[in-house]
Amino acid sequence: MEYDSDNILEMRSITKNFPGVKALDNVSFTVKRGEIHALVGENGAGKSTLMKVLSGVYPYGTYDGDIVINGQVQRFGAIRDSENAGVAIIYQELTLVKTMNICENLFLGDEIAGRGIINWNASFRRAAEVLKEVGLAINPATKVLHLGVGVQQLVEIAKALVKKTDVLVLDEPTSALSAEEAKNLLDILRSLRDRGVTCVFISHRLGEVMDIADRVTVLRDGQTVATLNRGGFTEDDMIARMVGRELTELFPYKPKRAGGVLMEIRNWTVVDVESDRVVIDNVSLTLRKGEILGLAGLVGAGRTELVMSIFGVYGRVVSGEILLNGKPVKVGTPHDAINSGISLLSEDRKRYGLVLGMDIKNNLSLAALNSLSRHGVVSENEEILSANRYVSSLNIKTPSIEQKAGNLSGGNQQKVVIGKWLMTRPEVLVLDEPTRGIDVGAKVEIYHIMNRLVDDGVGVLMISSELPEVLGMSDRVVVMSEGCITGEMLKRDASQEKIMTFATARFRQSKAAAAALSGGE
Amino acid sequence: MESKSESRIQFLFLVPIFILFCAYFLPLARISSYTVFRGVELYDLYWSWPEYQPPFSGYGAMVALLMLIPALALVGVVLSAIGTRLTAPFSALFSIFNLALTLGLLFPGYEPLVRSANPAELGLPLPRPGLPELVGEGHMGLGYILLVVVSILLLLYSLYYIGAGGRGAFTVSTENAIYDSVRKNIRQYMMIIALLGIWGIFYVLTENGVFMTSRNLSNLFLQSASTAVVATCVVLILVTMNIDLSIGSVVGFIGAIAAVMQTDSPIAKWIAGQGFSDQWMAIFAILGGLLIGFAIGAWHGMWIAYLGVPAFIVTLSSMMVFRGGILAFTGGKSIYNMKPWFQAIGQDYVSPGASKWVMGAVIILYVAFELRRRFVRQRYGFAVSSWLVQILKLAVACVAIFIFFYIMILYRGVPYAWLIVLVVMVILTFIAEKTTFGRHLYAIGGNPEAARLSGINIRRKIMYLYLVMGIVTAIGGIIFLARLNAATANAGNGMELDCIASAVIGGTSLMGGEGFIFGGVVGALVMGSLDNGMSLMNLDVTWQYIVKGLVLLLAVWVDMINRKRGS
Repeated sequence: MEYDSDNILEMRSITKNFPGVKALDNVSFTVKRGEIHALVGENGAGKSTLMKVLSGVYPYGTYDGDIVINGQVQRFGAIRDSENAGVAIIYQELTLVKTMNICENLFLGDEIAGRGIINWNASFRRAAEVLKEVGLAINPATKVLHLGVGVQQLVEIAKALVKKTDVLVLDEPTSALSAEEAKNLLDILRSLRDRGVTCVFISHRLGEVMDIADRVTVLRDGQTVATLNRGGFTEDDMIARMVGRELTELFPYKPKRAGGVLMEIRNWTVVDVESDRVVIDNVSLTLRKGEILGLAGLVGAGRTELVMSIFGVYGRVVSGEILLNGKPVKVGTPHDAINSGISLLSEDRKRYGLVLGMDIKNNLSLAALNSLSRHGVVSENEEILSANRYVSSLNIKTPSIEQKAGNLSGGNQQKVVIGKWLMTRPEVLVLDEPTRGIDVGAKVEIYHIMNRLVDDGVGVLMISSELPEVLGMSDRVVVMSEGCITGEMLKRDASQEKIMTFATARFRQSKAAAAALSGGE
Repeated sequence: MESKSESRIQFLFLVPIFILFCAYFLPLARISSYTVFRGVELYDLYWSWPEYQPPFSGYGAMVALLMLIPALALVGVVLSAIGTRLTAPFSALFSIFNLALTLGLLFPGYEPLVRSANPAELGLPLPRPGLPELVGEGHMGLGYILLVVVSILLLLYSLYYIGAGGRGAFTVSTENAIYDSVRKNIRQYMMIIALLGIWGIFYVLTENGVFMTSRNLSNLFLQSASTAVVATCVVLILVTMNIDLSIGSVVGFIGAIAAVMQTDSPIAKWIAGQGFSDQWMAIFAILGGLLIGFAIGAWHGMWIAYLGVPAFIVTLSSMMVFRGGILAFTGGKSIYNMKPWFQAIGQDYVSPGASKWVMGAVIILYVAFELRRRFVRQRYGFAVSSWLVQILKLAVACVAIFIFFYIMILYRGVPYAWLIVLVVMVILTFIAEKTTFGRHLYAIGGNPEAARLSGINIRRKIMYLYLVMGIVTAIGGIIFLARLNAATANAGNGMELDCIASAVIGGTSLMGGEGFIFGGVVGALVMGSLDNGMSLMNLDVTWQYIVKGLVLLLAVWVDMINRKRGS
């Protein structure tokens, strides 16, 4: 290929395989010097994987294709190598050391020092310069602890600038920011571009993308769908290209007759304890007996936070109530939730679902141990009996119930967690990403289990980031965006485009509102 | 079908073997049990009682022979009967020993040799019947001929095993069941083997092997009792990823309080003034100690579970606070002369005769519980191990119980302190394995997030755990005080580290979620053995600390390697 001096970064036909999945399929991605290039796509389209290849998290040799920076083919063995080549990636979860001050953070691992002794005067002088570049008038001796998320984000960018970065990659930089902070960040990115810093911008907020990007590359299913030039497309064009994943999997959807209202959430507002940010904003939601309600949205829309707060394990609930069968219930702890008939299968089964060192039997009975015991003494035989029952009815493939949960495959682990919650005999079963990271066969089995539960009158609330799954399995779909419910539709009315429009909706609306306000002034 | 016919062939083989086994085993068992126990007793007499003079030089070698040959012969018989792929070659080897023994019995000098070693003739305790009474003079001729014939047959039979690909009485699945159960409990077995290994090393290193006498082992057990009691509960503390650094100070503090309550202090004088007898004062002292332990547990639980201060800091603070408390109570002086009833807890023994009854009761209870468990499982329709495996398991456990009690009985009987250790161990094992509380503790240690999302009230469980810990520490403190009969300002110093080390050596993971109570007791015995053995070798205290520290490091390292390989 010819070397084009305009292109600072070229990723040529990158292919990356995971066991059983082709995460990236011949992706080409070219960034011109001094542009802001947006990378968009649905959940699981391959954006993060592509950036991990670029940063060296997946080292050279684990993927096919070439990375070319400034005309030189690069072979990154580790993150350090990509940093040396001038690539800096700022992730959603900030990586600053909170107990250190800004200056210490800026030069962490790359201190201005002579013979191992840090030159603090030079460090602070340089820190002040860099902070000015990102528009921060703040004392570099301030501890990161005391900074808001928006400022921390800017400090991260400053940290990247310290390292003589050519290509700055920002992964969802605005998702945790308020509208004003986000606007400020975009302004700073523009001014950095004007000074020659190239920027790759990953965002779900298509409004921002329209606002700032010189070019946009759309990924879908691990493939490059299109690269669009500024002015040559609309938001709807982007959405049309992002969705449209093929419905390859067979969803055993069964039409059901939904019963009366089982659970109702009213005016649910939750504040994150650490950042004091409103995460769930006045959400109301009903779940009927015998239906599967799909909760769709992009990553970070607050779906997990919503169900975790209902279950009593996340945030501070500012307002709202839960009604079960028309009666208000108070849920302060998971214990209360389980007792009133709500069970939650959380998205990370290894972290929240299983005790990996315990055997299958003990994992299955963990949440229902009280019903298997008398006077605090577990009836081991009853326990074995019901464990065996769930192992066979859920078709958990294991030589014995005394096998450690950590030794099972992902699909079987997930079935164990499902079994654990079924043992509590829930009326409402919340499934957060029930099929994440498991193979197709196990997925279909879990869909069948969901159908059986619904037949028994259980109400299932399913969170899924896979649009085909939401469309394939839900009777009704509710879409969340940025802590609000932005849309609701029945199965027959739903389409990928519609869901994606709702899922990216709120920011556009609020921006429109802001524009209207500023226009009024 | 094939396995069925195979098992019938096995069965057909078993019948004649069984008959031969009975014919051979009964007289052999009588002779060998006689010689084995006689050998152990004589050996023990020799080193435990200085007044006992060996009858002739080379006596030690003869005792070893007495012990060894019948024991090996017995092993040979058992292995022949149950021969497995693994044991077939050994059973052939041991059959040769059989033959040697039975032919040896024909040797006219053998019987007088055994008789010459009869301690009864020296006017010492432990009279035993002689060999002729056991075998019966009249049947000698016939018995010996039978023994010779049968051992030749057994030798041929075990050679046949090897020829036939090493198939014994066990079906392949039975063998696998045994291997599985060994593999599953490998950590338990390894620990006991390590303990016996340490004993073996000290046997060699101490002068005249004085380590392995009933007197010394009894002392060793008594010295380890308070550590063992506390270590059982430390296991649970570590399982939940917490810690208790205050054990040493609290043990000393409880001791100081119990001492003050029964010697000539104002409190004790006041109690005595109410007309209570010495027994009652001992009981009050015990109850007072337990109550204070409970209160200390509540204090720890409140800070750790409800106020969220890390256990490390809370108990580090208590370590200092209660060390100060001891000084406050004793005024820095040592307090001596506990009531006799109280001293008995740490110094006295259940008489050897009564100990035998205790042993019998323990074995019968154990067997009854295991069999009941088996029957209940069968009624639920669960798979149970075959009778052969079941009996083997029971036999191994019973032999272990028997050896423990036998060592104690040989000296003065079971110490009361160890009865307490056993009771605490059984109760905590029950809590850990059978109750929802115990299960929740393991879940909290294994994955606190998952435990919380499963509706477990982590704070309350940790609070309860520290209450139990407080009481168990108090029991340890009472035993400690009773054994030393003195409350001193630095009583229990450093004991927390011994207890934590015991739990860790006993297979408790510092990463939480794994550990078993029995391991804590064995770990305490390992630590106690190191102390005791090195003292007997007249090694400086300096070396005791260094060796104990390194053993702890080694134990954890080996365990981590095993864990890595296992996962």
